[in-house]
Order: sequence, then C-alpha cells, then structure tokens
Amino acid sequence: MTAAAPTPQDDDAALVARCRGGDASAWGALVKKYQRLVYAVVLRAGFDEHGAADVFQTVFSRLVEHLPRLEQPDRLQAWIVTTAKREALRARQLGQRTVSLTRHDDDDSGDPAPPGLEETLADDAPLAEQALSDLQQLNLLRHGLDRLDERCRDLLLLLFRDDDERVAYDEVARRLGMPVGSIGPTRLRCLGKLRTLVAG
Amino acid sequence: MNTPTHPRLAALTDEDFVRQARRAVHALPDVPPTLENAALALFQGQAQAVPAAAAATAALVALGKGVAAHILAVLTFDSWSTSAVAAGMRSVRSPTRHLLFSAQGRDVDLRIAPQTPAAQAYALSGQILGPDTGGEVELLADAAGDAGQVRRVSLDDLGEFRIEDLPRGLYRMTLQLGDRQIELPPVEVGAAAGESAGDPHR
Repeated sequence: MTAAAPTPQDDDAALVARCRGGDASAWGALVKKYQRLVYAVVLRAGFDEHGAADVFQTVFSRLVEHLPRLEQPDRLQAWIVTTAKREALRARQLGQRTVSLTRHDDDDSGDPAPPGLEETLADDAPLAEQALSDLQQLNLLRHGLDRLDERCRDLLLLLFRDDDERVAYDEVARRLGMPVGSIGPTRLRCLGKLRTLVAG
Repeated sequence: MNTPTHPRLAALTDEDFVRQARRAVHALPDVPPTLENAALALFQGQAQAVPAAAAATAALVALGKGVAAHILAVLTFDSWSTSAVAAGMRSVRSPTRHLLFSAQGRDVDLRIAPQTPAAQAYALSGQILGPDTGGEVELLADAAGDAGQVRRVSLDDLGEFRIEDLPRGLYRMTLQLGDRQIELPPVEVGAAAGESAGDPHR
C-alpha cells in the first residue's frame, strides 16, 4: 500500500489506476473492500455456499477483466453491485448446476441488466434497489469497522453481537483486558473514529 | 442505487448510527478465506505470468499445440475449507481432498489422496467437465525438491486423468483442451490440515 490514506469511497478511482499499473496490493484492497458486499448480494439471491462461491468468483473475474476499460472508476461500487445482482439472477435463472459451466461475455458495454432480469427483480425484495442501496451503506460501515485499529474493532464487534449471544461488559472487559469502567468511554471514542472513517 | 450514502450516514443520530453499524455486522458476513484467496489470485493471473506457469506454457507450445486462449481457472470449492457446521459434522477430515475449479465453461474436479498410509506419495486424479473431447494435463512441480519436473498425461474418453507417486509439494497444473489452455492456481499436494489450496502467497 502507498502512504495515501484510503478513504471509503473516493479512492476507488485511485485503486483502479494502481491496479491498471499492475499493483497487486491495490487489487487486494479492492477485494477486501467489496468482497462482503458481493457475497451478501449473492446470498440474498438465494444461493447456498457452493452456488454463492461460483457467482462470487464470476463477479471478481469480470472485475479484473473489466478494470482496464472501466470508464468511470469513481462509480466502481455501482458497477460491482449491478454486476453481482445481474450475475446472481442470471445464475439463478440458469439453475445452479449449469452456473459453473456457463459463461457470458456480453458485458463489455457496461449496460445495466437486460429488461427481462429487471422484471424478475420487481418482486424480489432482497435485491430491490432500495435494499441494495441500504446494503451499500452497510458495507461502507462494515469496511470502516475493518479499518479501525484492532482494539476498537474487537470491542465494537463484541458489543454488536446478536441479543442471544450478547456479551456482558465484565466479560468484554476480561476478554479485551481492559477495566470495566473504561468500556463505555472507549466505546464512544471508537464510534467516533468509525464515524470519521465512513464520513470519508 | 447510486445515490451517495455519506450524507445520510453523517446525518444519523448516535443511536441510529450504532443501530446501523450493528446491522452492518449482521448483514455482511465474512467471506470464506478460500473465496478471498481465489479472488486475490485472479489479479496475479491477469497481471503477471508466474515464471513456472510460463515454463509450463512454453512446454505445451513446444508440443506443437497452438494456443488461442489462455484462461486462469478459479477455485470454487475446497472440501478442507468447508466449515464443520456446513458439512454437518465436526472435526472429521477425509484424507482425500476434493477441489473444484471453474474456467469459462469448464469445471475441473480434482482429488488429492495419499497413496500410502504414511502419506509419502500422493495420487492426483480428476475429471474435466466440459464440451471438450480429449486433452492433456501437465503438472509442474514447484517445490524445492522436484522443482521443474514435469508430468504429462492425456485425458481418457471420460475426460478423466490420474497422476501417481507425487511427492508432497506445490504444483502448477495446466490443461490443454483444444486450442484453449487453462491454468489452475497453484495446488498444494499433501498440505497439512488447515492450509489452503490456491493461495498465491504460499
């Protein structure tokens, strides 16, 4: 990685430029930033682990092929989400067995999904536009958590657990080796850091 | 879907921000490491030819086969990376490792199994699922001991092949199917439990 501090959204163009220059670490940063988003979109389309793996790989294959001629690198996230949605729907239509044996190479135009797929989408709540927009915001937050320092990340991830596996403050304190009294203030400080990170 | 999301995040109250961050953790699960590694490997295949792979390519070209397309396969399944919960069992690992790769309309089904109980030698068998009739498999040892050694076999009528007496190590596999050449990510034969195949950083 270069010294330039990455911001959540605005550095996509820079990452794409570095990828074009053969910088593998820039590709690694793109994968880290968007892999959860792609995976979540594909899972929402109803795939099991194996089927999701196939579509996931297709999306990143397309991205790596597409990088040299991506016209608006600053709109990379929109491109990725559109591609993930389209590939997931396409794979679902083809049926899971044929997914991995079929390959389409007609995406060079950068057009959005063909009308037929959009129609399919109309009653498909998990992949509706509003849901995907929401998911993109969540990915920004999730990626922000990844980029927090380890202490903040560990603390927030522990505190964000589901109700049924929620960890009490004294247990959090024990696991992270900090006094119980400092959890509240540390939590606030970490949330502040997260806010700054995702504000770009 | 392309509406910028920053303003809305910035406008959230502290309470709503926490709620949204909590949702983010649950809505976006971790991606299995196998998938992440395969995605990372895509770029290597795209950007720079690995010397050993280039050697394998050269060897195939030397066979007199014209190569119209060179395709990098991606790992889509690794039986050793499937979580115990997903497999419906706990802490039982078959000595045979099952790997699946995909490459533009072809699936490559690989099995790596110890030939002897002491696991000093391994057999690599597999099948190419796709439209091709016939083809060749070339395996290039990447490990220190056998570096550069090439094993070459033909596919049978069912698209199957088997290579035996392989010492433990890292191998690069290339398939010649008609005028297409498919290169697999490096495969670790005899990897210990928990190690992953197709990891470019090994």
